[in-house]
Amino acid sequence: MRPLIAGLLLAALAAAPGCQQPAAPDALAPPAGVRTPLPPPSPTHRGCAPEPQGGPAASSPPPPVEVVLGPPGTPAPVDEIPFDHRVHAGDCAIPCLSCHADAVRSPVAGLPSGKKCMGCHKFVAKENPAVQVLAARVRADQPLRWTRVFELPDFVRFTHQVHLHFQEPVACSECHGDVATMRTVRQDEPFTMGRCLTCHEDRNVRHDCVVCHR
Amino acid sequence: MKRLGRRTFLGSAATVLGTSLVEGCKSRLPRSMVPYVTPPDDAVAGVARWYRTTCRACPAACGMTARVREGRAVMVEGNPEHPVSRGGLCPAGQASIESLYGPGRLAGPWAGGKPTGWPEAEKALAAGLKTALDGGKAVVVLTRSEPGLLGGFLTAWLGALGQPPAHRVAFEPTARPWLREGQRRALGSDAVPVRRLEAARLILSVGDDFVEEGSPVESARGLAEQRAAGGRSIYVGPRLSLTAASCDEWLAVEPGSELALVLGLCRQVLQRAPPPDLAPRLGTALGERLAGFDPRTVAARTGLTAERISGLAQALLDHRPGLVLGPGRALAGSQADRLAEAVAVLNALLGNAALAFLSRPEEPPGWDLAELARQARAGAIGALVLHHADPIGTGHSSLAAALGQIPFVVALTTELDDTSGRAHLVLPDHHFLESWGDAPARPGVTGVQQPVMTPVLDTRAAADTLLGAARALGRTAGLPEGSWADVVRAAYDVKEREHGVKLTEAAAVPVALAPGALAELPGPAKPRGPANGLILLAMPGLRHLDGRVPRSALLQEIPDPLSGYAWTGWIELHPSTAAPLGVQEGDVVALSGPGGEVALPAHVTAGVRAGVAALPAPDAARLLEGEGPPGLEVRVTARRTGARKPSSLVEGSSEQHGRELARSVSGAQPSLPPRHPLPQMYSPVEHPEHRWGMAVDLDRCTGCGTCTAACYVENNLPVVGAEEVQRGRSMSWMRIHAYLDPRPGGVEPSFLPLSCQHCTNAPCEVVCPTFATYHTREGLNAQIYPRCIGTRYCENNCPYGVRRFNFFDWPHHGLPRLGLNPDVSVRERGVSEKCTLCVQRVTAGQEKAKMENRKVRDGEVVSACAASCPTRAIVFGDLHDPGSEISGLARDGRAYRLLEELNTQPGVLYLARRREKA
Repeated sequence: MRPLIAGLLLAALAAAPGCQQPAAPDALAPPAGVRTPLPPPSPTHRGCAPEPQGGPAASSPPPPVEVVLGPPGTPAPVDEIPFDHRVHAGDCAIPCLSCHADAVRSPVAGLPSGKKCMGCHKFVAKENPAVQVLAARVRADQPLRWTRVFELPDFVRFTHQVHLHFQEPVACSECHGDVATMRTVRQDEPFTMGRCLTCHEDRNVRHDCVVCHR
Repeated sequence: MKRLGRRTFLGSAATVLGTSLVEGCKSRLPRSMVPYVTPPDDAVAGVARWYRTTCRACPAACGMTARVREGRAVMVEGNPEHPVSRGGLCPAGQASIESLYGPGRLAGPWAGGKPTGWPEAEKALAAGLKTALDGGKAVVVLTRSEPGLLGGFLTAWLGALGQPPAHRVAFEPTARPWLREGQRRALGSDAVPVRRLEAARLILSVGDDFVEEGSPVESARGLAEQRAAGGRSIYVGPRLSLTAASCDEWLAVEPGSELALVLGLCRQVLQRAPPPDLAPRLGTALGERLAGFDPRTVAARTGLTAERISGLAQALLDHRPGLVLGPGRALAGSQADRLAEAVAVLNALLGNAALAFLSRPEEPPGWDLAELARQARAGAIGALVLHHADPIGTGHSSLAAALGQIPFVVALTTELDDTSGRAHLVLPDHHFLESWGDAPARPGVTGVQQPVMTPVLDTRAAADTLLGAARALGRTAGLPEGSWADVVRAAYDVKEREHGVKLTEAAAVPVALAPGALAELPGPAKPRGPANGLILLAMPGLRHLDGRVPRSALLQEIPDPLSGYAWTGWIELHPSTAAPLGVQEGDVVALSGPGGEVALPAHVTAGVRAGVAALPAPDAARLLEGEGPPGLEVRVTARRTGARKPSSLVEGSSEQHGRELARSVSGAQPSLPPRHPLPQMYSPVEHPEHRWGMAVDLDRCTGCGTCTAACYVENNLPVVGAEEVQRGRSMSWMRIHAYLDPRPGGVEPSFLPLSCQHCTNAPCEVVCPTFATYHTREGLNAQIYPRCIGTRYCENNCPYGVRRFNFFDWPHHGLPRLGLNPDVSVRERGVSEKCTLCVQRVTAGQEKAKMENRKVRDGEVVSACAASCPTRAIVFGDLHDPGSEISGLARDGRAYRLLEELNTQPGVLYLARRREKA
């Protein structure tokens, strides 16, 4: 009985301030009123397979999507576009570095710019409602916003370009998982120091503390 | 009921806390990512870009290179291609990142004490100007010194409004107009003198604190090169300033007798070896004018012996080319131009070989402050435009009343200060790192200014604001079309903007002694104030630049090396002056002058003459009535207040007490005695590839503190504030320790830049319970913040006292967050930290070399302190590379390590200072 009460009290204490950091105030919040009702991806989408000629899906293009735009430079709502890696990296087999090009020359891999997406989507899948939202945002000079999935704490310094530089570069999927099969990107395994160290030891590369922590 | 046992309690606690801790602390990174819509060409996120520009923190206009990450400037260094500053910077320049993101910056226009929008503000500006012009009143621009394109533009803008060029009033508190006036009398020439300290074999500075005023970076480098070439330097003045401490000898002559000394030297030189091209008539005339300055008379006035004065004159003749400098602001009183004239004559008699005279560019003369005040009081001024000028805050408080008479005052500046705070309308200008422009360092060398980032606040270029007003009024005659950026881009081509400097041929001007030189010599200046008062000395300094950067927390945090005071002014008193007042070190003393009273802590030191009270110029200005620099002519009374405010002198004592920390070599013995390796019980440490280290040349170090400031900016060091600094909790990783060791007949100053020594046998590494500090295989002593649990055992064990502890979190809020270096962690409360030899730069350099399949080149990786040092006193490199610069220095006879007897085998070596030269 007593241990249970003690346990409950401690649970109450532990639930109080403790380790919860408030999320950093997101200075990039879009202004109020920018909302986009977006339907899910078209069920007729078949990836990179060519559209059947004269089929029922091609006879009448779907109506254009309503996008409420803000002033130029205002970011869009988070994850407005349901970007599907399964389609791009899987079906179309686009290499990771085509879009995340900075990974080979910068510590951060980054995300492709709006113009990079439009590089293909000016011609490809133009009638797709998600692509229409993309096109509208890029035309209005409004960047897209994405939820951050892979992050390392502030006290870890990870540099992408060194990991891609070797004779046998580290494959993206080794750390990020099989993204080509993910409809929504998720982190399957957490980034623990043990994972990093195991690989560093196996490949016999520097792993003393100061390489990553400074 | 069974009593709750200890074991049961702990068991339950462990279970509950365990489950709540497993989730871990959430990261503080923002949760969403926003990529570009259109990526900029060649700009890669995560990779820094370097842009050249020009520093505008003071009129010296040193070249500057800004390191920009993701469109934000996070670090500044010098520009090695700038022939005047040669890659160096000063602490005020390093503080630009702080001022760029500082909380004092104006975020947008202000009108009537409230924020407003740009359209309304621009309308108000045009309306205010129109009212003034329609009423036939004058429109006046009060600006800082703008010798480049912007100055010409301001004159043109005034012209478009029908105002004469005289309405452009230049106010520059660090200017030294007496030098020009004195040269005009002596040489009949208005040419710009280029002082080439490195070319002089003997430098005699008559109160010219050239390390801290004028063109500090250029002069400090010149002195360092001159010393390396075997030159000598002598400083004449009542106080041992940084400059005096960097010279070989300090002659503390009787205050006010400096003019007599220089004239006595002129007489000696003229008698012993007159210049061959001196016209005989002029030679005779000069001899007559100098008749009253024979060695005995001068000896009586100065307190030196006649033999000393003769010896000095002979030394000047024997060590030609010689260079005489002065007077600086400390000595510039009512006779400053006479002293400057005497100095110019002495230089001419010595042959002027270390001086070059260049043709001065045309500049229309403008009103001075006195004329501005007169016109304002007469009601003749309808509108005043302030452009980065703060006379009220820099000692001219009497101008406030005159300013009140002007119906429309508009300020185009970055921060509100004492003058712009009184403006009716404020239209904020960009910070200089966001601006287009130019700034000549001297004729022939113009620093080009380009924005290194887009403006971070809602500001506009001042020139664009004025252009907009002129266009709104329909008065655009003679004004450029387009924007200010177009003007600058048209004037300087891409290459010049890329390199940050434009070099042109500057016409040399032949000069000769004027027939009227020294024709009217005044009697000694009359001192003002009580006869038995202390002589007031207003010290120039890099950290306050005459009040120009008062709001820099960083510069206030870095203590003055000689006195140890931070965040406060101080009063330097000789022990024999302090004793009768009953004053000890740290006692607060109140000085009373004609303009008011000032109470500051006293620094009792032999580095100032008896009977002199020396204090920083901005504090001294409060004692005066704004008439200009007091020189040594103002007497003040002092009394002890009973309060105390001691400094936090970290090194414990201002004397070395024979510890041989800052060592010297002499002309007789130019190498240090060799050290033999000590036996040790540690197993030897292997550095298979690189062994990074630093060499600090004490002969070059002037104690300016640029290294300290650069380290703060590069490594996200927190500024802890006055109270914590007083408790000895300042976080600086690189500190300048200054020592004044008593010697027969005077004091011997030394500067010791001290950072982590990166010992091979580090005493801190063996005592860390969590292995948070360890020795890397490249010689660095690494500090791993996530492992540190804050026992401070390492701090305790370090014999050099270089470790700092984070007693608090120092959160960065708002705009200053943008100035953090993303490559360096921001440390939390409870961890120990110290210099890392800029490991982020070392690693980045190694990664770059690895990507290019080569080894790191010598000079490619430079620590922040070494990069900005104006004298190149700090050299960073690989001690295992036999061809590197630092390896060469390690083999030098002057090289030694600190506390060598402890056998810590540091990776930082020092080169002893040269004294007692032949």
